[in-house]
Amino acid sequence: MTKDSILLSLPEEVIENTLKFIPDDDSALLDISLVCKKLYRLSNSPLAWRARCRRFRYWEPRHEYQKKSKHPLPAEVDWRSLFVERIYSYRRTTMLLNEIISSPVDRINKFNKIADLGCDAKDCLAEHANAPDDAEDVLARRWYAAAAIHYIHRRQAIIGWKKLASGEDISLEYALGCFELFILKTPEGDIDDISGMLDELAARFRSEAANFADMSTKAKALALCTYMNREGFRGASYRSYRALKNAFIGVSLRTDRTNLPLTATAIYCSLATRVGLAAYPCGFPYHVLAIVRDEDGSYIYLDPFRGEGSELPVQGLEHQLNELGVGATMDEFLRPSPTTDIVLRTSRNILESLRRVPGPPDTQQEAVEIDRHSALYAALTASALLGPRITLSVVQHMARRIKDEYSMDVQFFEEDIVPRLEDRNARELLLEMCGELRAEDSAQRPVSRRKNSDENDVKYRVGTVFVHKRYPFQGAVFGWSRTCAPKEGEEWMQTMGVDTLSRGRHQPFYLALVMDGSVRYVAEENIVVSQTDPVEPLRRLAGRYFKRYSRAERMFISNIRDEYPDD
Amino acid sequence: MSEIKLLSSDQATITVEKSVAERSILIKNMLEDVGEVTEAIPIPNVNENVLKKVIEWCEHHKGDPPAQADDDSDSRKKSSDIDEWDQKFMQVDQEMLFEIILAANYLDIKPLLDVGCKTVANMIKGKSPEEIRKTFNIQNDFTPDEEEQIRRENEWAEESVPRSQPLDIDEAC
Repeated sequence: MTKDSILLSLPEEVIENTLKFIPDDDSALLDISLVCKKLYRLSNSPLAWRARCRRFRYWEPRHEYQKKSKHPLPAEVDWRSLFVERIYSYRRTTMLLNEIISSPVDRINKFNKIADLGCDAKDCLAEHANAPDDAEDVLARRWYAAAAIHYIHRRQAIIGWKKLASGEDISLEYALGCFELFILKTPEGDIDDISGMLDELAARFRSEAANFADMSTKAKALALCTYMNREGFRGASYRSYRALKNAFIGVSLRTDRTNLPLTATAIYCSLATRVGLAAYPCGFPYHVLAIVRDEDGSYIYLDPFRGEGSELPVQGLEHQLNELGVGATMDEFLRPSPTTDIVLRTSRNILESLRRVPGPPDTQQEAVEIDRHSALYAALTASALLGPRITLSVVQHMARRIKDEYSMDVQFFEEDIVPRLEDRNARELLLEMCGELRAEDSAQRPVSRRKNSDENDVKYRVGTVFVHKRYPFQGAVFGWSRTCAPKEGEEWMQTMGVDTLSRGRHQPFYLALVMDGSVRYVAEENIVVSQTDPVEPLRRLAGRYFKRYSRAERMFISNIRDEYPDD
Repeated sequence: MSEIKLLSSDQATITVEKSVAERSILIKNMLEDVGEVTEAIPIPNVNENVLKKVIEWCEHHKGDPPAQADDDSDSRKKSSDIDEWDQKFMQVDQEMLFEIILAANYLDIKPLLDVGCKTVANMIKGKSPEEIRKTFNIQNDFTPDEEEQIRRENEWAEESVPRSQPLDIDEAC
């Protein structure tokens, strides 16, 4: 009994290494602290608290986490308070997410409360977005956690662009990185990650250029151009020029590094700034160029898209502008462009890419899958926040997206977008729509019950996986009505020829989530129960309405029992 | 495939493949410093039993990628992430477990050290202070007042987070 504890006789660094593996989101730490003085001391040292903090990757800027982690005397930092605050955010996020998953009521407010925590919520959400396969509500959990991450990203982008609009100094990579935030599907890849990739590239350039310090500004500027070329940055070919991905700076950095002149220039300028050059984008018509200010204040023009290590003579550019008939306002096109202009130009590039029907998957070009709805929404938001004026059609397009999927965006829509509309009637109309969305969100959902008497009244249940009798798609039922009653009314039934169906309009119709992300309204006679398990894209989407897929029942398990309690 | 000899604290000589022994950063550095060796390398802190056990682990893990220098900032660490083979490997009595940990620490085999530490962490997890003391034969050296003070400091830790319920049927996918 008096034998010494072997655990306590281990070297202290080994005990500390052991304590690192104790999870800190329950009361384990308290239990350990209460065991004895030695364990209390080891588990409460500043470095133990720092180790706990380091398990989190994302931090709101206000914590100055990067600065703290580089502190020369790490024991001086109050890691404990940082951690305790962080744990509270962690719990709050989990609590709100659990509520969002378990009840459809008041989701808008709950999403906004999570987004108020910003980056501090991301680690927690990332865990839920990777919920284990055996979680009871795995699909719903993953879907809503991902939706919350997307929303946090969108809010960050909107804050960034609003700062830019109010005249704050925002770096080019940040302003363009905001587009990225709309299309990201993962917690990784945000603006910090973009900056990190640029830091690395710039550092490598510095270390490869042996006599960098002795080089002239011009020599540095040209060397950087050829360096980018060596690093694999390539102007997109004529055929794939309008591929959506070329407009996104982070996608270009991360993947095959093809780009548009604007993207290439933005990357160039971001690198140039890092190595001490004064570099700016130049809004030349049809082809953005880079300007580097020489020692004497004159401009050096470069084309990072082509990546050649030679300067563009200004006479040639002037000649081109004359040819284009803009000789009179020439200066405007030959000086640095404000960041806002570059953002708006990116917005137009995205819209231009979206206007084209995506061709057959072109070799590697569309290998990077970008959600077109999200890209459109990004382009419209940029134009609404930064454009000279806001048009009703832009706002209407945004409103449609909000209605379909982004109901939580109602908040910034009301606060930041609608007030910018000049037309008072339009403003009122849109605020009314927002009000309706909020009312719908805070109300209990209408209930559709099955009748005991006629079991076969509505044949298929919520969660049924089916294929359409006539079209090659797989879908999942997430709602039904006893007869055809589309939201769009009689007109829809006429257009779709509902009365030409063999059972006509007086048969059950089903709301169906389809594997391509669309929602269809399908007549019972066209439903064929699927003989195979749902395809992966459908599973990913299914989390919006379903908890999980049951292989035994060949059905998705409903997460909308409040609306269809008997299904 | 070259082999080297190790000499345990109790004077047993063990022959082992060089690449396996080099899972130990201590031995690896030593071999780099002295070059070719023919006589047995003394491992004065580790006895034959434990050394054999450590080598068994290194044999099994010889194909593993080298460990990251500092993966603290990676995803949140969980003590439950121990692969099946390692779990079985660590099913030994407490004394052997701590011997392995000490040997891994001395020989500088970080992944083995971590497996050992995770195993101990799993033994701590979910236990009350009194249960932890019992498991590891520790004396309580706090006064009741001190205990109260620690409880107050750690009030934040007491409310636990509701987690998603795992499914007990095998149909989820």
